[in-house]
Amino acid sequence: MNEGLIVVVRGIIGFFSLLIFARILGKQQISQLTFFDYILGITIGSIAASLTTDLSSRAWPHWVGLFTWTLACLGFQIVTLKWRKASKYIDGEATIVIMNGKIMEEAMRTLRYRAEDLLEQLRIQGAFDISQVEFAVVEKNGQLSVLKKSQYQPITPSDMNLPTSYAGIGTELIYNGVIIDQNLKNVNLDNNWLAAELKKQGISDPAEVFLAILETSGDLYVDTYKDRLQHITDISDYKNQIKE
Amino acid sequence: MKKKLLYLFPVMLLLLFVILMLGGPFIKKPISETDDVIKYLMLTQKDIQNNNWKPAEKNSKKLSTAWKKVQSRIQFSSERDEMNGINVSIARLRGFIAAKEAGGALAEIYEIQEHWFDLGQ
Repeated sequence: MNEGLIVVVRGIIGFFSLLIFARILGKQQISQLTFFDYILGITIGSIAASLTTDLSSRAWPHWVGLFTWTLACLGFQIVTLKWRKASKYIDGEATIVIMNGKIMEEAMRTLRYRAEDLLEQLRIQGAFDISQVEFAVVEKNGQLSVLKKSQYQPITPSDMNLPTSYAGIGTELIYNGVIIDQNLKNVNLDNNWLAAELKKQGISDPAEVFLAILETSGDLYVDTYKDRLQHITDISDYKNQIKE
Repeated sequence: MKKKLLYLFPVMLLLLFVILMLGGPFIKKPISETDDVIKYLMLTQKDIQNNNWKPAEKNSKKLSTAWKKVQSRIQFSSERDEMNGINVSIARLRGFIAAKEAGGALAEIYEIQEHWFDLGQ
């Protein structure tokens, strides 16, 4: 019996099973997870780890456990999606702790949220002066969202009645030296145009380009593998760490 | 078509994993003469009961060889303790046969049988 080989095989089973189940459960940034989602992630990860290394039991029961937790999570996601009341019951809801500049002590007491916690979270959100805060909301995942009073919010072009041009998402045209033909087609351009633009920047071969993005303004952002920097800023304690 | 394949691929992969994990009871069945564990176990048991120690020793050796072959393919869907149990029992069985002790040998035979039936379950 080759224990190393068994662990490798079970590791592959656990890894790809977890990958597939995680894709089924969908994308959620860590910062958006509720506490239960976080615990769920740890539990599922722990089951996958046992599946890989716990040779004292078969892989099957661990895999079934993994599948069951994933199915339960998926079930809850579907229920909370279709039934608002269930969503509020299971996930809870956001709580306003500062309303129109006034601290909601009763809401804070219900959340077991201390004044120090509130001030700490406000500082993390960049609000060092509590008198500048209009609304503060404790979200379901425990994070604090802050809306400052209008006179303390950053000025926008709209406030100054300044016209602006459209700013959208750029389109990647070259990645890792390879032209992405589909994206080129999506923006109604061709290889000739791209070659001409690269030539303007002294680049003869797309393979020299690490990343090229066409911005909505029409500018082509290009980063080559060789950066040709005049002056290199090296903040490392060790010499010659930055390679061109 | 491409989208169907994209969905089908993870499903097939999961199915493969399930087959690998649950395949124990089928994989332990003999493929050839030389990996028929139950056959050599029964032959050894018969030899011991008839006090035929030389044939018992031969068959216990064949049992050990057969088990090594089965073990290499069943190891991914079975518990390590069950496989170790069979390894230890076969070693003790050969010791009892060498010492010509029928009682101990038969006890080991039955233990091997018990582990064998639990294998992959």
